[in-house]
Parts: sequence; structure tokens; C-alpha cells
Amino acid sequence: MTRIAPRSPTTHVTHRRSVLLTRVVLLVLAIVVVLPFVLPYYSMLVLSFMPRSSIMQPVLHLWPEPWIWENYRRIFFGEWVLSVSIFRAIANSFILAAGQTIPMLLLCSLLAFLFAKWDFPGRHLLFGLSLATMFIPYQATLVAFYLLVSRLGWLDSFLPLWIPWWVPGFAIFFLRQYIAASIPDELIDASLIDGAGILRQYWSVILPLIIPGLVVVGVLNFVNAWNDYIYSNLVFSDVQLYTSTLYLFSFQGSRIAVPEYGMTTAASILSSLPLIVIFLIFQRQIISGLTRGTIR
Amino acid sequence: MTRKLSRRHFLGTMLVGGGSALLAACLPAQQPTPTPTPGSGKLTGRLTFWGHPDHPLERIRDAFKNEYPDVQLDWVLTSDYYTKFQTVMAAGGEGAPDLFWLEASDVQLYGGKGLLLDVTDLIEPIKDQFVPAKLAEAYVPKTGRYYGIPGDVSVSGIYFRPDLLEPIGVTIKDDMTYDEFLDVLRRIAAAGKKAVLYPSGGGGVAAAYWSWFAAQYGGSGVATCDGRQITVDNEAGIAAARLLRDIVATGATLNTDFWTPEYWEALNSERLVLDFAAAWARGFWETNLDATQLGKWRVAPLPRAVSGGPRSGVWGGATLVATAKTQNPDLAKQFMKFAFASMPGCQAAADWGIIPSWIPFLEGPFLKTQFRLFGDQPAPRLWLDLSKELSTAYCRPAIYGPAVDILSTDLDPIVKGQVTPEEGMKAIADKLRGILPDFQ
Amino acid sequence: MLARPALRFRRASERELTRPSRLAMQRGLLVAILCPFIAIVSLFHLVPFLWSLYLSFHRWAGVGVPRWVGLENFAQIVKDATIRAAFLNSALFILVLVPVLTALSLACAMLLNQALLPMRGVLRVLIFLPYLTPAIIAAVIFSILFNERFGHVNGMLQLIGIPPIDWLKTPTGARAVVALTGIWQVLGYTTLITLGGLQTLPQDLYEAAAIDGANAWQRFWSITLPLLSPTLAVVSVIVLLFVLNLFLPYFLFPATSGYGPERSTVTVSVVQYVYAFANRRYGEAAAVGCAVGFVGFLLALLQIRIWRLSRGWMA
Repeated sequence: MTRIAPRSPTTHVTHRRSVLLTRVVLLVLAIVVVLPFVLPYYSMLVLSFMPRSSIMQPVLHLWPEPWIWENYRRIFFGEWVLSVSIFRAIANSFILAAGQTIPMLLLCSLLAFLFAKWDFPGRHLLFGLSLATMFIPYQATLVAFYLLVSRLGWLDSFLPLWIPWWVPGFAIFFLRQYIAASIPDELIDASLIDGAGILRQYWSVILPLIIPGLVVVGVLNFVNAWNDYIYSNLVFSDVQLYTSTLYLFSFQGSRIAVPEYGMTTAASILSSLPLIVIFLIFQRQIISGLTRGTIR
Repeated sequence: MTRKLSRRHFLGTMLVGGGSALLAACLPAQQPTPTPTPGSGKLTGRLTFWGHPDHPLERIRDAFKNEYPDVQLDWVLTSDYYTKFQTVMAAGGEGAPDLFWLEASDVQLYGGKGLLLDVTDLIEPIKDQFVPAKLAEAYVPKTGRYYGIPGDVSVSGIYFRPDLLEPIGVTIKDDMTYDEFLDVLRRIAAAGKKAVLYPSGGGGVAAAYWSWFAAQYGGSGVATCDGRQITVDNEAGIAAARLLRDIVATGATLNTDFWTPEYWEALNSERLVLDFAAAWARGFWETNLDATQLGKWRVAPLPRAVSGGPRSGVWGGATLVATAKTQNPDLAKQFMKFAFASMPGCQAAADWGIIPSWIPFLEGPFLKTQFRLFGDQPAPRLWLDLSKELSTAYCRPAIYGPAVDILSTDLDPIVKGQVTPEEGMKAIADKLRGILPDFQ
Repeated sequence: MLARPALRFRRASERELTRPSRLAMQRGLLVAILCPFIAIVSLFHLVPFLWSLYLSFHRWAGVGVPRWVGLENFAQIVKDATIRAAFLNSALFILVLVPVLTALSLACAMLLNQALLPMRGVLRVLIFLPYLTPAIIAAVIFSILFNERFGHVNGMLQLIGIPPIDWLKTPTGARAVVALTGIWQVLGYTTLITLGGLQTLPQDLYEAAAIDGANAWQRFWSITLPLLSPTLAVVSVIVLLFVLNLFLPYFLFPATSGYGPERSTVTVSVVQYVYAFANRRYGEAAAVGCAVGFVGFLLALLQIRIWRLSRGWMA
């Protein structure tokens, strides 16, 4: 029985000390890096508790002076321009983002599976087409988009904000890489031997294994859908359907400038809270999804 | 905390998402608009309007609702309503609102193409009741018809602080020439104060000033009123550019844009003691200035550019129109008449801060209004006189929109002395001539 | 004799679906799955794109019939001062932001990957927060932060003795603000992607290199970078797309419709929007859009190729 000589007490302590030092140094470094990211949020928070007249004062606002709850109160109870509560707007944002993201995940993962593991005529063309759509700028297509949507009778509904966005190029691209990188062909072989067709393979084999990848694409898409402004503005005229971004933009005041900084910041903090919560919940999956999905 | 996302959980989320999607999609269908019954004393029907939040039309809507409680008025207020409107109109006009607060140049553009409701039968009998310059904005020479009711008269003048100007020996007279005004500016600059604006690059400020000056010099602005010829480089246009350059050369201008925090701060700290401003800007001033400022300001006409010429120019000022595809043309006309050709409507508009173009109101209740900003000065009288002076030769045809964009960048080289006014305006004119065919 | 199936599993293996009825069902399924995909892409992406392609050869003010002008709109990319400035500015932002953001996200990812770093989870969330902010809010905040008289940035610079800089009124300052705001918005996102890539790197390679006596810099250069190059390729394409779609200046400089002082901040995205909706020059805006789409696609391919090559050089 070999006996490993115990470390002498001094080296043990020095080792612990150097670890502690490294931790402190890293923490300081990280805080220095992260601080610029957080400071704007801090200033937003400060401004959201101040009245407009004080915000416009040319002094550095490091703490709300005076502190008012008015901005939040009015937003909660819909006592501003739009006379709907912000919660209604946030609910609409949820509906928009969920209705866009969830079908997208199913459809894109299925398509990605096909592109990654199956051969069929036009495979390269369709994949390239999908990629190319990422590069179409939206401004020039807005008029045609509106024309289509109004002819289809989809105005003032969520449909034009769902259906056209169910097959985004980035999702198909990312998921295809993910499947190619993390699902060995042997698994597909085995299921083929078992007599499984495409759908069975997808449902039983692929889907459970790509959940982290789906989380990544899902959360990113959810965030983008949530923050959409251009298309929501075009489609919705009914105030009851306004999403939180439209709600936020209503604080712009008269076209010629009476910016309500306090209420704008308060509303934007409130409307980004759900996104923050979602990100917190799915944080681990996102990282692991990004881990396994790298391009080889 | 590691959350393993099971397939069941995933399925559950999908169901919830799908369920809520289904729910949201089952929205109530748009109610068919009941036909209004004209002349029966009781108005019913539904009108939609798109505008920005805190819009003058909100007050008018409330006043209208008071008189006719059975009419449904759906006002959609959003920040980017103009893009939305433009996109809808570019796609043919399906889904456009019944009413809209339209820029003068777009009245010419859309009216000329039949996208607006012809309201000649409404305007013709009462056309003498409106300020002539504004009436012209609702009239499209190409078709010879009226397409809206004149809205805000949007005159402009000089806002100044006599209590701060007197100590430096400056008095603003009601009838000055621009030469005298340049002198005033130099005195103000010498005293270390600021007067009027000129942001770096010129921007919208330069374009606005140029437009006023061009009108004051007797020009028609960027193009002739029928929109067929570019006039930005005629004598009036060149003179206007020269005047702009001379104003900036006095060194009195403040380098900031309209209604930025720096602007209000300069006013509140009494650094900016004089500015060109439109009549409707008063509302913004009263909101954004300190309470101590109220009552200390006075308003005066713009200096004259030519003897006998107008002492004011228009800035902004839209026209209330109805779109051609509206389902309720008669109700729309009723609303338009109420809004800007009746006492309660005009009063509501004036309460917001714009000045309606309806003379009976201007010569009536309007004259009794007191503006807190201007203390005891009878400002309404001045605005009324100035609106009658407005040049009818000046127009804002369809090409005015893109012209402003070009002016806001291309006047700067003239101001900086890099090109002469003649050369600079000619360059601008050439650019405009290139795109003119699309704006006929 | 087996019929050659149109649909076959992609491996060069002999295992193929054999029963014809099964095959037909699979073919039918394939069509059923691809149909919605093709329909959506065609109707809502291709058709509008073809419309804008059509527009780019015409002039149109949003009413009436578009007027044919051939290549004149594309010529405006060189002739029109604002459009020219937009392309130049966007090129400048690409040249600056792609390397800077790639390098920064690598540095941050390496920092956040350190096992000894306390509160890693919290820091990751914090760094990602800005990505959740819509551009207009970011613009409001940053225009306050960089305000010359009461902004936080000048306030802090004054504490260390630097006189106030006029950020928003000079061309260089304006570009700096746009760049910094853009970095703030997107760095969290790109850092997380890089972090994901970092975590796949096999540890044994590092141990082997350490045993061989390689120092940290050598390990970084010959192991980390080459293995990470696919991830970094993705990051640089993301940044490219971000810059091409950069609409932030419109919100930062509303008084000049996003042009900024002396046209210093107008980007291709801003000019498309302003020319179409403020100036009613839909044709020229469409030409810019098509040019940007085309060039962007090529640039993305170029970037991927560069990273693939560099991997060969570095390994």
C-alpha cells in the first residue's frame, strides 16, 4: 500500500492563496468587462423613476432625484396615450413570439434533418435558397409584403407575423449543422433497420437529441420576434393587439418631440423582463446547445 | 439548476403555444360600418384615423363625440404612422384609414392620383372663410379639385426675450429688414448670447429656414405650384440661400437641433435669447421651459425680405383629408367640417396649440386667447395678421418631400462658403430635376 | 432489380429503402414536408424580393406606374452623395466591427470560460442582456450617456481630467457612438457563441501541448484558434449581417434622419428606409437593397472561406 506523502502545510496554504488570488483577479477583470454592459441598464432604471422635467436637467443622474412611482403606475393602469395596460401588450408579445417560434422549431428541425441526412433532388438548391433569404433587406420588400397580407385578409391578426417566419434561413442552417455534428449516421441506420420512416426517425431519434440546439434557436427567434417593430406596426391597427414594442413606441409623443424618457425607460424595462426571465430559465441549455452545435 | 427538457415538456409547451395561437387567431371580424343618415339630426357611423400620440385631432375627436355621441371614432395612435400610411397607399389604399392628417406635398401627390376623397362640394361654398395660402394647399391644380380641409395655418415668427435683449441695446421692431436683423444678430453674438439655430450639417433647420426665406423673397419654393418646374435655383431661391449663409456668418447661431435637450437647456439657461419658431411650437415651449420663463417671451413677425413682402412663412401645417376608399364619405366630410370649419372644432384644435385656418374663428374667440408664454402680449392678433400676409405664390408640391432631404444636406456647403449660392442651388436643382418626372 | 429510389439515405451505404410502397410513401411525405417550406419562402420572401428587383430598375414615388430607368438607380450608388456615404460608412463599420467584435468576443469568452471565475452564470446573463434591448431603446440610452453636457461618459472622463468631447456632433464622435452602441448590443450574443465553441475544445490537446513545453501564447495560437475557426467564422458572419442591417443611427440621430453630422453615420439600412419612406424614392432604395443583398451574400462566403484557409495556415 503506497502512501502518498502529504503536502506540507505551507504549500497547501500557498496553493489555496494563489487560487484565491486568481479568483479575485478574474472577478475584477470580469466586472470591468461587464460593467459597461450593465451601466446603461442602471441608468435606464434610474431614469424610470424620475419625472421628465428632472431628466431633462443637465446633470448627471446617478440616483433618481426626485423618486416617483408615477411612470410605473400609469403604465400598469393604462393611463397613458393608448389606454391599455402594458400587461395586455406583453401578453400580445407572448402570443406573437410563441406562435412564431414553436411551429418554426418543429418545421425547421424537420427540414434540417432532411437536409442533413437525406438525399433528394434539389437539396442543394433549396438549402442555398434558404440561406440566401437571410440577405434580403426588408425595406424594399415591405410594400409587396403589405400588398400580399392585405389581399390575403390577414391585417389586424397575428397570421402575417407567424406564417412567413416559420422557416428562417438561420434556423435551418444552424440546426442542419447541429444535426450533422451531433447525430451519428449509425443511429439512423439502426432505425432504418427497424423499419422506421422519416417521421418516426425524426420523432423518436432526432428530436430528443437536439433539444439544446432547439433551445438556442428557439430563444433567439423568440427574442427577435418579441422585439419586432416594423412588421407589427404595419399589420396592427387595433390597439388591443399592440405588442409591447408598439406600446413602447407610443411613448414617442408628438411626431415633433416631447420625449417621455421616464415612461419610455419604465416601459422598456417592464417589457424586457419576460425576455430576461426566459433567458435565465434556459441559460444552461443555450450554452450546451451552442457547445454541441459547432460547425465542423 | 439543471432543467432537463423532456419531450413531454416540449409537447406541452407546443400545445400551449398552439392553443394561444389559435385563440388569438379567432379574433372578432371587423364590424360592417352602418350607413350614416344625413340630415336626420342624429349622426351614426364609424370613422378611423391614424396619427401620432398626443395629436390635436384627439381633442377634436372628443369634441365631436360630445356633439354626436352615436358616432364611433377609432383613432389609431402610433409613432410610425406615416410609414404605415405610405406603405398602405403605395399598395393601393386598401386598409387605409378614413381620415388622415396629411402633409401639403402629399396632398398634391395623392390628390393628383385620385387616392384622396374629392371634397370640393364641401369646400367650394365656404372657401372664402379660409386663409388663402392654406386654402391653396388643399387644392390640386392638376385636377382642379379640393381634397381636404385646410388645417393648421402654421405661421412663424420670432420668439425673443426683450428683457434680455434690451441690456445689450437690441430692440425687435415689428417691421425690420433682414439687414437690420443681421445687425441684431451680430450684437447678440458680441454679447456672448445665441440667436436662432444652425446645427452642424444644416439639417432640417436649414431646410425650414430656406423655405421661409424663399417664400418671403416671392418665390414658389422648390417648384412651381403645378409641380412641373423646379424653381429652387431661381432668384428667390438663391437669395434665400445667401441670407442663410449671412445669418450663420454672424456667429450668433446655436449648434443644436429643434427640441433637443440642449435646445431647452439653452432656453432655460437664457443662453438662447431669440429664435425663429412656428406658432404651434408655443405648446412645446410651454411644456419644456421652466415656469419662470412663462410670460417673459414675446413674439414678433419675421423681418421683411423685400419691401411690402410677407413677414412670415409656413412651416409644417397639414391638411385634414379623407382617403378615396373610405366607406363613409359623407360622415368623413361632416367630421372635416366640424373639425376646421366650426367653432367647437376650431376651439379644440386651438386648445392643443395649432391655429386653424378658419377666419371666423381667428377673428372671433381666437383673439381673446391668452398665451402664458407671451404674457400679456396680444399674440393672437399678430398670428392673424401674419396669416393674412402669407404668400400665395409659395407652394409645396409633391416633390417637396425629397427636396427637403436634399436641402438638409446640400445647403451646408453654401453656408460654409465652399460654393457660391448660385452654384449650390443649381446643383440642388439638377438633382431635383432628375427625379421630377416621378412626382408629376 | 431494385428501382433506383429518388429518396435515399445519404450515406454511401447499400442500405436503402427497398419496398416500393414504402418508398412512395416516403416520397409523398417528403413532398408534404417541403411544400409548406417552398410555399412560404416563395410567397413571402421570393416574390417580394422579385418585386424589389423589378423596382430597382424603375423609378417610383409610391403612386402611379413605375418608370423604367435601366441601371440608373445602381449608378446612384456612385453618383448620389448620400447613397455613396451609406456604402462607405457601412464598409467602414464592417472593417472595424468584424475584427473588433470577433476579437472581443473571443477574449470575453475565454474570460468567462475560466473555471476559477466566480459567479460565471450571473456574468453570462449580464453580458447577454443588451441583446434583448430593441435598438430604439439602446439609442435613447446611449444618446443620454454620450450627451456632451450631461452625459455619463463625459462626466466620467472629466473625473480623470479629460475635457468634454462632443460625441454626437462631430463625424468621428458620431461614428464612435454608433460603433460602441453596436458593440454593446451584440457582444453578449457573439461571446456566448464563442463560449459554446470554446467548450467543445478537447482538453487532452492542451495537456499534450503543455507537456511538450508549449507556453500559453503558443497553445492559443496553434490549438485554440485553428480549432475555433469555424465558430469564429460564424461570429464574423453574424457581425456582418448585423452591420448590414444596422438601423441604429436612425434612432440616434433623429434630427438628420440617421445621416448624422456630415453624413457620417448613414448606413445602407438607413438610406434604404429614408429614401423609400421619407423621400419616396422607392426605386433607388430597392436598388440599394438588391446591391446590399448581393454583396452581403458574397462577403459572407468570402469570410467563411478566409476562416477555412486560416485554419490551414495556423494548424
